Amino acid sequence: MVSFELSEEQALLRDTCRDFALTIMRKQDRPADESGEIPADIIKQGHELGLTTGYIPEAYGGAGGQLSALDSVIVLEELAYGNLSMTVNILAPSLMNVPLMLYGTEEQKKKYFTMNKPDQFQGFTAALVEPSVRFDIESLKTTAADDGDDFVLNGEKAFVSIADSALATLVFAKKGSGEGLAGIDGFIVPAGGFTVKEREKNQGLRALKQFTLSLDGSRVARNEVLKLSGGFANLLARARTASIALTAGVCRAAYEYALAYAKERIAFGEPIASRQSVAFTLAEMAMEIDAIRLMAWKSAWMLDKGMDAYKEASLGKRYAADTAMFITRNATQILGGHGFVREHPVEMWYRDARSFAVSEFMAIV
Amino acid sequence: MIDFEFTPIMKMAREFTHNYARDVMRPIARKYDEEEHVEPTEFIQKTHEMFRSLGFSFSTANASGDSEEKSEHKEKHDRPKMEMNLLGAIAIEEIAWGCPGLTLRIPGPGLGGAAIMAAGTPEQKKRFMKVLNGPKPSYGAMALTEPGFGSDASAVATTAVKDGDYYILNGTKIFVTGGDMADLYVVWATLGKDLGRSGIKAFVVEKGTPGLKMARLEHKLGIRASDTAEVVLEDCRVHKDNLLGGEKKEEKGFKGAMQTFDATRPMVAAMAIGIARSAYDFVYEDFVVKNGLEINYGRPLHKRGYIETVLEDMEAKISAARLLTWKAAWMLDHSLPNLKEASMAKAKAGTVVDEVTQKAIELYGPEGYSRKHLLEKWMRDAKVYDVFEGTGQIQRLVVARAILDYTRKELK
Ligand SMILES: Cc1cc2nc3c(=O)[nH]c(=O)nc-3n(C[C@H](O)[C@H](O)[C@H](O)COP(=O)(O)OP(=O)(O)OC[C@H]3O[C@@H](n4cnc5c(N)ncnc54)[C@H](O)[C@@H]3O)c2cc1C
Ligand SMILES: Cc1cc2nc3c(=O)[nH]c(=O)nc-3n(C[C@H](O)[C@H](O)[C@H](O)COP(=O)(O)OP(=O)(O)OC[C@H]3O[C@@H](n4cnc5c(N)ncnc54)[C@H](O)[C@@H]3O)c2cc1C
Repeated sequence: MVSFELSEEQALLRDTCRDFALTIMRKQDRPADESGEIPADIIKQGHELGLTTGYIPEAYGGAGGQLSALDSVIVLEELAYGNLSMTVNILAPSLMNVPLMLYGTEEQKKKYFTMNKPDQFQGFTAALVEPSVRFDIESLKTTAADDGDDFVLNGEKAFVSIADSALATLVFAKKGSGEGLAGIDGFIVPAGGFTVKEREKNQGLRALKQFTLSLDGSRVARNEVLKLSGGFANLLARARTASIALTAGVCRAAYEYALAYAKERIAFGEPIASRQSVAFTLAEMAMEIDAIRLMAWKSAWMLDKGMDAYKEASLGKRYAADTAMFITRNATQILGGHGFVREHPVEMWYRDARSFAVSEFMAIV
Repeated sequence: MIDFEFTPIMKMAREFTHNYARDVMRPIARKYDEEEHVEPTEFIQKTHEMFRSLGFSFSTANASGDSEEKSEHKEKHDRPKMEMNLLGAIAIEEIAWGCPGLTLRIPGPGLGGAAIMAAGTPEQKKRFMKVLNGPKPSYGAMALTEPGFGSDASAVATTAVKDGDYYILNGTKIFVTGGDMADLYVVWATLGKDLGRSGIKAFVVEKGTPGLKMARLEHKLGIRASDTAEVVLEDCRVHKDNLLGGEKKEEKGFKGAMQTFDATRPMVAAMAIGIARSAYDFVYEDFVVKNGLEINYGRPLHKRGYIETVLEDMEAKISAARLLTWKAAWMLDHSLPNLKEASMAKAKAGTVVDEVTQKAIELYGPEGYSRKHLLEKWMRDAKVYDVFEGTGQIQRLVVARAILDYTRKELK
């Protein structure tokens, strides 16, 4: 039965996250962007919402909830509406926990899930992207060579969130050579198992610490391999679904700001919002944000139903990323010269939004 | 709980209408495009019987009842009887996929019926719907547009002058879909310019009423299987019982016309999506099914071809428009105010259908331009979906006023 209505629990979850976004994240978003640092208390408070530990079984110290992609996209939109860098940081543990939940062995789950603490943020992350121009997931260059008891990892990873403080990092690599997604597996590398190189300096996402990693013969024991058995495409579908929801959030932030500004800013004796060229642009933005949100929901719903959502998630992600540029660019435009100065946050959302088309695995549902 | 699962009825309706569109409509689509103004008599009869036997009608009119009835209904049942708007959107997408022109030829309450449902009294709904859902193919037309206005419906110049139990109508209506074949015409007229919007009323004029005349048929860019007529009213006497909403409910008239759109816009959007999909399916069939092109969704741009990228874009746009449309229809089914969402759906679908049908011809090359294929027809058909039931600009105006919380005066 088709429905566009959130359950009561989902509505509560949305409100809680929206409140956190507005009252906590937004208060520090600009200083964080300028300084490149997210205040520790924001990460702590964000973590205490329980979003990355909620689905961890009680036996391993979690809340024992369901892993629901739909719940996750609702959360992601709200948090990204607060601030994208903070969202990615707070939810980084899921980049490892969700794949473990879906493909991990009992031993792996026990070992790593128990390291997650509901009341204290423990860093976990995943490393997928590599530092090559026109990066292509289908031809990962990081290799995992079978060496008896261990696999030996060689290569470089880039844009790895919080790699400097993560207790463990899920590194995606291939055992064999060849193109395609099918042969990709996850390799759990503890802190110190690779060299954390320089911090990335990005156009946006400036508060988020991302790093280049160098894997120079890192050894990963056999039981630390997350065998995906062809499931990488599913993980990618989950990450892309997350990306659609994040996009909706950032776009909504920019749209709402521009809308409020347009009603207040007087030019030629009238609020600029009373001009169709401004009002219609806002209408277009509102319509596209609704469309992006619905695409995230549809894709998440498919995942929860156990359907193959790869296509839906991939085309949705691309659509959302393209549209995000339209939306955030116009939000900036509506502020005129004031959109160009850093006193207002729209230029930050414009820079943050550019990340969606070029990133993979920023978050996962 | 958010859900995208169709009910068994929705699945059945989709499959059934799709097959009907493919087997019955597609084979004759070109013929009635070329032979503009020739009535597809057999198609009308056949389709009428088919839907009647199923107990299903394409009334966009199942839609908005008046508000008292809705709240009463809400109290009695927690859930709506059936999701008629969503079901209608799903089915009409398939039918329009068959041929949008013929779609508008399918008998039933039509736009006139939608207006009756939005603005009529319970007695009027019963009386007129009986005619429109009767055993013979019948059709309800909407006559709002005039030579002097289209978007600005408050500019109605057709007059209604009270004369005892009757009103005397005078004026010219243009672009009346099905104006050549309608059994009932919902004619919008003013009781006096000085009354402004509240003076605008809708009258149901029955076929054969003296003074009601079909003056001429338009020659159009597309949807040529559907006739669009100019209708003239010359001292046309209409009984007061045919004034929609009755004489007392002064405020209903103009608002009623506008409420009609809450129900019809998602349907028109769904038709537009059907056309976009027909063009998409056509090129997909050639490139992917016949010639083995692979669409590698989500692959980086440098590793994919132009056509692959365009096909993915088309699919994404169609999906975006469809989700907005379903949501707008679903809201109406659940008695949620959907003015903004209905306009969003219509605006998006109206844009997407033009983009997709244009691009499909380009992808197909010179052959795409040829009348041997239906691609060129779909692009012509598409254009009106960003025009009737409110132009693309008017939809954006509606959305903009809603999000800005602006009145007509604040945002002109
Ligand atoms: C880096 C930078 C350098 C600059 N250098 C100079 C300089 O050297 N000298 C100088 O004098 N100024 C300078 N400016 C100011 C610049 O010219 C203004 O920012 C610009 O003219 C827009 O005015 P505004 O910012 O007040 O926007 P507003 O006028 O407030 O406009 C806000 C938005 O409303 C839209 N809008 C306004 N009126 C209408 C209308 N009637 N119809 C439709 N849309 C409308 C605008 O297009 C814009 O999108 C500079 C600005 C920047 C950012
Ligand atoms: C095939 C067909 C079937 C139709 N069927 C019916 C029918 O059954 N019944 C019926 O009553 N009508 C019908 N119409 C009429 C249709 O609803 C109108 O054509 C439509 O509403 C636009 O009105 P118009 O043509 O007078 O254009 P106008 O209102 O003159 O508009 C011209 C242009 O100006 C723009 N514009 C107008 N006002 C504004 C504004 N405030 N802000 C920004 N832009 C604006 C419009 O968007 C448009 O681009 C039909 C039309 C066609 C072509």
